[in-house]
Amino acid sequence: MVFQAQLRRLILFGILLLSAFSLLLGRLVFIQIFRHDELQSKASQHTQRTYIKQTRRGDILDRNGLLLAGTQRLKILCADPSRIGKYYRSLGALLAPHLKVDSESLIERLRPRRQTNAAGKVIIDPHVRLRVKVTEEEWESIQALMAKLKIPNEPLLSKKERKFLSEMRSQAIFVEPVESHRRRYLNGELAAHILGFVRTEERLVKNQSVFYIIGQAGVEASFNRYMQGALGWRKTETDSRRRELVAFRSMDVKAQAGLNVHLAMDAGAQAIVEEELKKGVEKSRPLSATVIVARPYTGEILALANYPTYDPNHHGDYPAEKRRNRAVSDQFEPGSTFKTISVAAALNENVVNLESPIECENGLVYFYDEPLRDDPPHDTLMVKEVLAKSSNIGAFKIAQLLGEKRLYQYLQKFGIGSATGISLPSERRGTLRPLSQWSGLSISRVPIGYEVAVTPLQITMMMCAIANGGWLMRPLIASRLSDEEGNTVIVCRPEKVQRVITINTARQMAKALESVVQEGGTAPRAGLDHYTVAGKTGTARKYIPNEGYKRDKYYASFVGFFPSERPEVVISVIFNEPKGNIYGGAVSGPVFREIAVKLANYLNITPSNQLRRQTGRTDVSITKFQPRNSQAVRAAAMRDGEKRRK
Amino acid sequence: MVGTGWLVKAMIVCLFIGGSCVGYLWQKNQVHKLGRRIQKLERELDHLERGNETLRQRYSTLRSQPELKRRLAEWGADLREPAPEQIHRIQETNDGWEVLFSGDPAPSKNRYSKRD
Repeated sequence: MVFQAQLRRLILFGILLLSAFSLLLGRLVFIQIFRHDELQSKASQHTQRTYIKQTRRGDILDRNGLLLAGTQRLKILCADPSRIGKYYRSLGALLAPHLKVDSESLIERLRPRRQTNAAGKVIIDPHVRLRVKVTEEEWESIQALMAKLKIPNEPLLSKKERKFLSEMRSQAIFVEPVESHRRRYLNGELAAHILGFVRTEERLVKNQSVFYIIGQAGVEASFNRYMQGALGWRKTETDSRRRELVAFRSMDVKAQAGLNVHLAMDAGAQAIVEEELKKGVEKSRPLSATVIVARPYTGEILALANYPTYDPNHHGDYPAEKRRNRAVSDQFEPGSTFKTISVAAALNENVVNLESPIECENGLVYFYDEPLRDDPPHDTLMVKEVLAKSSNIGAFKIAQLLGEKRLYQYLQKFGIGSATGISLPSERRGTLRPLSQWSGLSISRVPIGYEVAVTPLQITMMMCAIANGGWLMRPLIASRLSDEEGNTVIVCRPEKVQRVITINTARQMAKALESVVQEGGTAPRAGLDHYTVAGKTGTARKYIPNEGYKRDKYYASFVGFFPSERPEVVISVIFNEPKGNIYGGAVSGPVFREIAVKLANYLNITPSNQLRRQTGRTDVSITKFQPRNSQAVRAAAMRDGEKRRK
Repeated sequence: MVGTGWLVKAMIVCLFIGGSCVGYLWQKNQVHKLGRRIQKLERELDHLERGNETLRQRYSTLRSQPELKRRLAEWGADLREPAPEQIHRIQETNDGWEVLFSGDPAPSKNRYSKRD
């Protein structure tokens, strides 16, 4: 009997146990199978995290590797008001001087605010941004400040309150895992128009803020896609205190830094140019001014400066007027510098030679009932004297001999009316009306630099073509692009656009242009003591829309190169509305001279007398000269290539 | 008579299971510790990279033209670029060295002109 009763109880207990296990099993099946996806996503939300890694924008360096624009990594400082509670006033007053913000506004931001979250629960906003750009040093000092934070009568507070304060010190102020970056231009205003500037844009990537730096002007804009780099990311898990569990990292992709841009520009040359431009501006007080220095054989832009200028670190403080790169965005009627093209074209077509006599009609000629004057008047001039004395009538007569069609073809060949293709944004093409739109008067105006408009860069490249033996080069702003380790990724080689004139014509032109800076020429003040200089002045009346040509507003320019036997640099100096003296030879010529003297020293350019002595010739062949810099670039690229192959 | 063999076997099984558990925990602990170490090293690396970047930028600033000019002005050393006539260029020729003076039209040889 007893045994049977025990057996019954045992069976009953077994059934109960089995039922309990069955229930548990059923629940397990329900959770693990039917609610699997829902619960797993909930669990993942609590533990799995994806962190975006900010990429580093590439640097901008000059041709000698001097850093011109770099990126500073900064932290985003935040506060958790739910961990600050009633202490927001004292904390705000403490932090305000360190964050350099108004204490009242900071207190207001630290004040706990209730809000409803996605689940409809009322919570205190746990995330308030205090400052987006905080340096490492500032963050360390804030951490130290928080650690030392003193609350009156703290030992007398309850245990719970003391724990709250301890958590507040360590967790109330924190930085976001994503960093913000700031672009820094280490030389301030130096080369501002080449470098350009950037803006920062905050975008959401996988629900995280990412700060993008976007180029807005200059090299920053034109090489933006190369310099931006690619974001990295990390997929990982965190514990209940949101600390990362490294063992559970499932993906870790490093951010790829943007490419560094190595400019063809030389910071030393740029500093010289800017200093001399500043002196010239102080003397002539123009509305604006531009200086460009280029290597004629490669088209490399060694320096480019504009007045007025700006500091790209604070570009927002300057009007658009100052930020505009006038060297490529402003066009003007070049005046007499344009005679270079007319004469070069006539020489190239064998219409005239340098000694051909041109009747200059004693300074006044009427064409289509419109007068064309020379000041001072000339009787008969040789072609080379037409350039030296800048005779309008002489240039017109040479152009007449050449004919409209051929003149137009040469203008096109010299790149007038088309963009040079420089890697800088907002380049204008200049104005060259199609031949069909030329008036009868045009043949007397175009050869002397009216009825056409050019950018300062176009006129510089035109002179480069004469200096280098007849090749129109594409202006080169960057020489190469390198990766984070310094390996060359892209080489920007000098590019010939087209042959414009023959070597002989170029040589003849260089000889003729030498006389411009000699006594009797229009720019004796542009001459150098130890170097032969070839160049052309320009003084053009300014055309004001709806008002016509003004008698008191001029463009004064000088475009030249030296040493004329083996040109190393082409320098163009253009002043818009100079005050006082308005002539190109008097306003721009001296600025050219000062820049040339300093550049000759800086670039260690061999003086002309030594050049002649070394070669034993008075006229050095310009065809045999190999530009040093393009060789250096190629050699560097080959070295890098070999290194990478190894 | 019951033998002690089963007891030994049971103890071995228990020790194995116990040892495995302890080993598992030790290994997990090590993984966790290594994770912490990796994080610490990553932070250090990040800190060093930041420092490196800051130093690089400072170095470039010190080398820059405006900074050099400012320092020269501060020292008051009155340093200036040489005039072209003050520059002597040395040229290698077939029979030695030749010093060329920019301002001098005639080539002049100095006492180092002959090479042994």
